[in-house]
Amino acid sequence: MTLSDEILMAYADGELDSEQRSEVEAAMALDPDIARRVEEHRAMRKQFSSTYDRVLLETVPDRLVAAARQTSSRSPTETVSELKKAGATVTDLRRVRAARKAEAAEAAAAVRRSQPPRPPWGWFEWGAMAVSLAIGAVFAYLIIQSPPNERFVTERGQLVARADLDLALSHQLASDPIPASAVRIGVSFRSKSGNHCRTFLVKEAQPVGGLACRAGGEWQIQVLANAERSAAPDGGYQQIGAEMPTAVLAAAQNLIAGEPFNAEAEIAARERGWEK
Amino acid sequence: MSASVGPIADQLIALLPRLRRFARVLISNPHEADDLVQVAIERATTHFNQWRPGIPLESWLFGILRNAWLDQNRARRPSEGPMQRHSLAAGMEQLPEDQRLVVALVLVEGLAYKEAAEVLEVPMNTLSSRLARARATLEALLGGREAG
Repeated sequence: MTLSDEILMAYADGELDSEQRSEVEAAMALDPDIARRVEEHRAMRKQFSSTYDRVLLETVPDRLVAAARQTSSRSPTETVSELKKAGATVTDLRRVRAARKAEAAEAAAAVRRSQPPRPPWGWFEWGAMAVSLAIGAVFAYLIIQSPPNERFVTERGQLVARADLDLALSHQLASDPIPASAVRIGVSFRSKSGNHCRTFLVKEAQPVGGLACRAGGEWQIQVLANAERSAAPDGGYQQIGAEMPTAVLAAAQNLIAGEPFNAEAEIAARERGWEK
Repeated sequence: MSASVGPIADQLIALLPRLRRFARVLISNPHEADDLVQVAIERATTHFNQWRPGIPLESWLFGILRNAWLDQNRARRPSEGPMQRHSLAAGMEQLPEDQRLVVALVLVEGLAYKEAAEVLEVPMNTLSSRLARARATLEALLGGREAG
């Protein structure tokens, strides 16, 4: 039996219903050539993943985030008249390109000016935290020495957030979770040294939970631990289906000055870029 | 029962990595791909009164980006900057536009045939045959090399 390439591709793409799948699988069992063709289609899919999925882990340029944030201040009816008033010509590719080049030139000039040194994480706080955490929690942090992917990068001995985790910590609100995001924000608060800190869960095959604090223009990871999958996810972490690790909760409790942020305080802190 | 959805800006921001990946399948130069994403975002923020929440936001955005890309191609310029060396990306550059779009949506963005057909506004069997042709072309171009 010859099955068309289209059907075999659809099978490899998971598009067939169970009856059709059985037919293809029966044919695959009888004809190694058919099995080979299906495998080739799967292999090509994997090749696409390995070529393009890394784009997801890149830092998103600020100009795109800024463009996306233009939606928050507009209501649908205001939008068009606003733009007419501003004399803006949207969708002009040449303008976008020119603006990008100007931005790049300015960024290069800024780099040539002296860069401020990154402040290291406060010794007082790290000491206080290490003493307060249960031994198990400290080991949990140490176990995750080689983080699962480019979300966690070591810079000058400090673990920092990158990729979509960096994006989520800077922009997501615990009060308004994003179904599309692999990151779920827990609580946000000010630490005893005045830095902004946030707990988070990352949806992975092995979910991880952590605590990050804003310092030196980036999110420094203070605690990272494997998260238990919860069989009956509680309402707060429904999207991830995992529970915030005890190590993270303990660290947050020890660091926090005052109360966790409510929705308004979260929004206000975000508007200030999470700076002190 | 669903979690509350964030305001549109937050959802857009969360989708930026996927939009950038989609654009990068269509345009190999990263800066030009990001230019396309920016144009698409700007069009989306201008016209989001046209988005009906029944349509998944990412489908709507993919459609906007696809239209912006096609508009841009009418005034086609040679792409600036170095071509990616990876053979798959080079092969993609040789596909006609409509095949490139189906590959990007189905094989990279992982949309189901039905969703991809809606984004591209074509019938499902058109999508399926375009996809088959695209893969056949790529397999021929790549000389039947196994995935690395």
